[in-house]
Amino acid sequence: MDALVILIPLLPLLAALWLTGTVLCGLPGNTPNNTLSADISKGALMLAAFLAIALAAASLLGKNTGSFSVGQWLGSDTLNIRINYQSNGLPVFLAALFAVLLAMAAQFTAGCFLPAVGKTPLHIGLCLFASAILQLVLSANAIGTLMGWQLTAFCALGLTVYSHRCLAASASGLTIFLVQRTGDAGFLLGAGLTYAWTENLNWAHLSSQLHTLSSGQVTSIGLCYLLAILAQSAQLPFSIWLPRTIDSTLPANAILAALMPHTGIYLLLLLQPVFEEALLPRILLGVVGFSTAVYGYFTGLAQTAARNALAYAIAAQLGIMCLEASLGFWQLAAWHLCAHAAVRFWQFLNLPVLQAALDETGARPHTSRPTASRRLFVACLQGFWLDLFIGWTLIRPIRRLSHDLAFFDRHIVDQLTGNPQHRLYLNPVLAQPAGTLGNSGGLPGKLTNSAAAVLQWFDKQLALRGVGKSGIDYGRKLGFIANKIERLLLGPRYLALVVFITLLVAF
Amino acid sequence: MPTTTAVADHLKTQLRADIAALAETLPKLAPLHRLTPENPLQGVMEEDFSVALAQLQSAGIRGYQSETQFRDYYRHDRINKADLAAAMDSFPQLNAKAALFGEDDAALLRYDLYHTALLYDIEPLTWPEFYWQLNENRALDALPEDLPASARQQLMAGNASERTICRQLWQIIEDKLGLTVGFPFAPKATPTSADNSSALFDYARQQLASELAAIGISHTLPGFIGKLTGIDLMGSILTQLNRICASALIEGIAARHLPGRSELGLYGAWRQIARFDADPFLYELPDWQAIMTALPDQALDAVILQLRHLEIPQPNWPGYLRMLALDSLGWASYIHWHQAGGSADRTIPVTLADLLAIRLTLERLWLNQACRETWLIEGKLSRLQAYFGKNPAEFVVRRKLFQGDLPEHCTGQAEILTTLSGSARHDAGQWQQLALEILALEWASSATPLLPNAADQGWRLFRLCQYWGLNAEAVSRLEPARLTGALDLLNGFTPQLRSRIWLQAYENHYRDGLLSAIREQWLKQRLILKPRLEAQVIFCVDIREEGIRRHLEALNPAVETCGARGFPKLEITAQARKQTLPPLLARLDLSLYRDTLAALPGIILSSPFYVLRLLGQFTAPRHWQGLARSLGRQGRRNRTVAFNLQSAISRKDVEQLAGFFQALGLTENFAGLVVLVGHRSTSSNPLYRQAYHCAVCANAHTDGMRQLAGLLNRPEVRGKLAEHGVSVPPGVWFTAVTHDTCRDTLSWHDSALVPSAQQAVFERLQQHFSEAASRNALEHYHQLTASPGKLNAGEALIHMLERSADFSQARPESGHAGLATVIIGRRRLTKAIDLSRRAALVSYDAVSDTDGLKLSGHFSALETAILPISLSLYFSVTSPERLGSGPVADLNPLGADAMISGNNGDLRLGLPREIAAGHEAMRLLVVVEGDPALVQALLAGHERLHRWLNGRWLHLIVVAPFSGEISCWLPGSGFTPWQPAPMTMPDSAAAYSVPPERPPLNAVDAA
Repeated sequence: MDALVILIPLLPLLAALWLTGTVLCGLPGNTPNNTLSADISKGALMLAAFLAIALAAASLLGKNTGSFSVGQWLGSDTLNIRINYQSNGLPVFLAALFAVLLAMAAQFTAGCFLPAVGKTPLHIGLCLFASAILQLVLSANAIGTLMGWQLTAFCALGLTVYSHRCLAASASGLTIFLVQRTGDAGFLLGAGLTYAWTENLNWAHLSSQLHTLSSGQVTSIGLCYLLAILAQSAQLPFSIWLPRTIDSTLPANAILAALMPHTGIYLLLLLQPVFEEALLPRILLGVVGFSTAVYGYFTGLAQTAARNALAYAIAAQLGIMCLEASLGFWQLAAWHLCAHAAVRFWQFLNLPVLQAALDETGARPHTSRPTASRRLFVACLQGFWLDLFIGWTLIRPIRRLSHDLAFFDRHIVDQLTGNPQHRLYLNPVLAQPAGTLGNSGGLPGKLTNSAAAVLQWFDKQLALRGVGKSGIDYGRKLGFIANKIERLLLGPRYLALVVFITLLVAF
Repeated sequence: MPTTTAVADHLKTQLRADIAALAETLPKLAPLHRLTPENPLQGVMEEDFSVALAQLQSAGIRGYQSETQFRDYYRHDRINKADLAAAMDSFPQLNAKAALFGEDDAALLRYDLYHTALLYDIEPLTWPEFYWQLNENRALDALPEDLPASARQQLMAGNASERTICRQLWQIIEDKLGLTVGFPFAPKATPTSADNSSALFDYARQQLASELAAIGISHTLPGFIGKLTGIDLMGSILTQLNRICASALIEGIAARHLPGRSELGLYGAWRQIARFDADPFLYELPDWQAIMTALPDQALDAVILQLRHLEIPQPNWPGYLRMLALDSLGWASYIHWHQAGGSADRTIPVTLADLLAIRLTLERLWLNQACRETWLIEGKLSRLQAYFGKNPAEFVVRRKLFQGDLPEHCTGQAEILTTLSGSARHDAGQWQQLALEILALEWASSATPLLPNAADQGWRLFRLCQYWGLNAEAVSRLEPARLTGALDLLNGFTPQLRSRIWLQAYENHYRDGLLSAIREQWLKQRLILKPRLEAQVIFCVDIREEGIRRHLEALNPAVETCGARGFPKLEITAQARKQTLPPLLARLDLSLYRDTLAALPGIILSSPFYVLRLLGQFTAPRHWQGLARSLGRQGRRNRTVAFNLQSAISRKDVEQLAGFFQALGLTENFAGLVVLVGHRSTSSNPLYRQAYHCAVCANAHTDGMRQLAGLLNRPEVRGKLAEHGVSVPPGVWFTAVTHDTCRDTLSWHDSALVPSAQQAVFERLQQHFSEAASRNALEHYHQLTASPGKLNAGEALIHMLERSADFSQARPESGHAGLATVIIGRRRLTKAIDLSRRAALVSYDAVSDTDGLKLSGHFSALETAILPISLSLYFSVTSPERLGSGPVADLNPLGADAMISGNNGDLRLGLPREIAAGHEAMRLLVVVEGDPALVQALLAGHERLHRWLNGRWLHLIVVAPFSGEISCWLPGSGFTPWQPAPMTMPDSAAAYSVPPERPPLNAVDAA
């Protein structure tokens, strides 16, 4: 049964690729009489959900070994990164829950738009998101989790911007993406330290090797991962991304607000042994969790819109989950996580029920309790100015700095170096007379011209008239040097460094 | 000499009057839970339809469907050439029958020019579009794809290639118009010198002056600043405004509301909390503390203070305030409803002046910031005028950059200047150089009448000639003056005018088809002998009941159907409140939104139940829906006040009942069985449920209908009814049924009580009802565009059941989307006509209504219920962004009161896209069977309706009851006889009502 685990994230991925292929090849997608994209996404996600349930049942019956390895992804000296998955316990149950909810989201997406509206991109985003989140949950090592982690962020951006109703959706998508990327630094650093000190990136290995690490090392790893957890689970001060998901369409909003932040709590549960050993991260977790719960509660009090109220209620409950974990109620946090995801997902998809509930309970006008103070009310109404505070402390100074640097660049550096960009704008390439193309000023411009002349000579002399014997000798020597450099670079430490630098640059 | 106080008082009085006048032009937006339709444009309906729509266009409200949509109707024979010709004839200024090129050349009429302009896109192009057409779309190498076959044949007659034909034609047009562009179509800026640079800057100053003068007329100060900086000031201002308004006025979800809202009102309460708000500090808004401290107590004073500070010219104040209200149209309309006394339990003193005062204060704060950051000046009119008067170059560069009109190389340079230099205080020379280049380019490409422009006149004439089949040789014979004359006519044929013609043509086509069918039916019905009536069935006038009525009559000619304008709501019948959820469940759902800490155990304990609900909704939606309905019924039963059959009926109730039958014209000749048909719409998850609500009968509830039938079966009630002229014989039995318009299912009530004498008829009727419902489901299925493939009646019924149970379905039924006409008259007028669920059929006997009292009641219902629905649908389709609600999936409910889109926005006014889908925007066509003189006399008593008719907001047709003569209401002239259009109608009576996607339905032959 363990082998089933690989299919769970793979099926939605294949569906996303298939749908992308239909778009790229111009095949008919979601026209009024063709519900191809909806059928493919629904089918893939339902199958994934079925497999996840089967795996969870097998796990309950004790039929699984606990992990499944597909093979090696990267290996060099002691570095051995495998594609492996967990097939027992919380990851499997959570994957089953998420898969079921995502299958429902796909079905909901099929019905909640007019057929004429192009839904294929939404279905692609949904399948890709499903694949990413299932990969994140099921992966048995940090690299696999990180891959899913990153892909969910990209999908969140795409799903929010899909609405393209207004500029607000684009800005919100970008905010969600950028805020969550803050946590990446913590995740990468945590993974890097884990590998440096345990020479393995498997979650299970980290738990088993904790006794070999000093308390300082465990605390360092815990603090790094804590940053990732806080950012992903919308804890303070990263809570600002959660209400921004409201700018997406309803099914996307449901999965982004009701499922995505729970992956942060899942990571916390995955690292339970680390946090149990590291006191400082645990205390910090509790403080931040409590603050987030208070923040979510008070901000939620002043929310008048259903989706906004839900977003802040989710933030508050996520804070409580962190607090539970911090106080050592790990089992409660796990139950809370699963229950909360399901309930909030239902609430998002059943917004009209709120209206019915308001009718039924005769809650209009809602008897408002007397407000303690105007100051507190304003703070609640404005979400404790969290967005603005971050903008004021981080974004605005950086923007001003960048403006100053750009000014310096334009007025000082460009003047010294010949200002090629300025000339380019003033003289469009096509409007320039023949023969003046690439005629730029300043020292770099002249150097470039000289270099171009040398290369042109080389081209004429060597490439066009044939390669001489000396050229072959020089080429052989160059190849020898290149081989030496390659051997050096393929050493495990350099390779690991290159991998991490690549990931850092990429994300 | 008047004192300062007297001047201030006069100013306040004037402003108060201006705001009151402004409020009158706004729609009233009632909270959604009230389920009452509000006319979205009631305020502007004093004006003529086309004039009002032209005014609204400046506020971004589009009043007509797109030309593409109308062309689609034309392609599907929903509009034909004759309709367009007739519509053009009704605009005398077009003089459509005159020869295009003068009296001596009658080969082409002006009509041909206009017809071509209607059917094909020959709008002027911008320069980039023009280059694209020539260089990328190869407009000079091939004939357009949409060229009519006849034109293509004419052009290709000489065996020349398409390329040759096009190039020769273009060449001759260039020669005729004196165009100097030539190949390779690159823009050539006029060389600038010291002399013409000052002329160019004078030109820029003129533009600046006109832009500033238009503040308060066509744009606001934030709009002006936005055009010059690209800064979204409106976004920042409206975000705050929306938040404040929602906190003060929206009930339901929030546990904390704006403190002091009940005592101080919106403005006063906001003023109290604003000093604690850190927003201005964190946004670094200049002088915010001083501005907030200086705020006066009264909202009206604050409006005057801010308008004066911003230096808006006083004559422009009403216009400026109107634009501010239109920027927040949703909130302004909601406040207008409150202010007009819409809310009986209103405790918040809120006025439009409150909204405007807050808006203007926020505007001042944000304008100051934008102007200080960009130009180091204060955000007021005189400072802007002075600054740009000195720096016209910056004005030119910024305006063109943020309009997006600059060529690429200029855009790059302009972006560098605006982002790095910031203002003309730095790099003044570069600003000037770029501005001169832009001005010279604009000068060269400006479409002034004196300078023929290739992208405008040249291109349009080129396309016109192609569509007319005129080749170069034919054009060469025409004098240039005639060609430019044709272009002048084309310029006068504005998009607004074209839309009016399209709409009129569409409406005329529908009207003529309907009236032809009615006339034919009127003649036919006279020859048919009425069979003995077995049963009379009383439906609501809702358009969703038209189909089932028609099918029922076709299945059993011995059944007579009536359309009632609502059912009586009697004191004696205790109406159970509509309930969709058991109370415990409702409280649980609600608690999870509100109390975070208390929700914790609730979430953990109830999660299995919610997972079960989700699984039920997805895996077995129909069963789940059944379970939920039965739970709801159980709860309702517990809460319904038992109906006491023995209690005595009041005099008022008897009068209501009698009035009900009298309005129907049913006071005698009752059949043995009378069925009262209520209706409701069942769908699993309707976010916008009021769209399926019936504004006429308020979805006469199951219990209410049942009780009404029970009451009418009581002998003493019949006795009292007889005193009011309604004689119900003892053998008549009343029974009730509820028709689910979404599922097309029927729920019969108290079937067991039907007397044995009526049992056979009743059983037969039940069978016919079931069959009619199936047929109706098939029609309904065809109307919903999402319906897959072809189904038979049974399969369609199952499809509708599944649709109703599908909780993801944004459009479970078509609702009122088909509404096109209201027919007030006897059923015999329309009995065998397939009206395709587009008509509200009101039963009315003109013969017995000699004083017009009953008709007057119908007119009132028309004014208050049906016309608002029709206009709401109309504008939700034509202007979905401003007067519609956008996609359902974007909506965010504000409690049960209103909707916004996304995170924080203005209230949405109209219907969501999915619900308005399928509606063909046309003005309501009202057909009344009655005496024209009586109808005209009645209209004098219905002033609003009379005004709207004269303003062309709806159309009125009268069919004389005895002669069958048909007359149309002509605004200002009264009734004139209708003449069938002198054209060959390719579409039969059935085809006029068939949407493009749908195959025509066969007319029902009642005989």
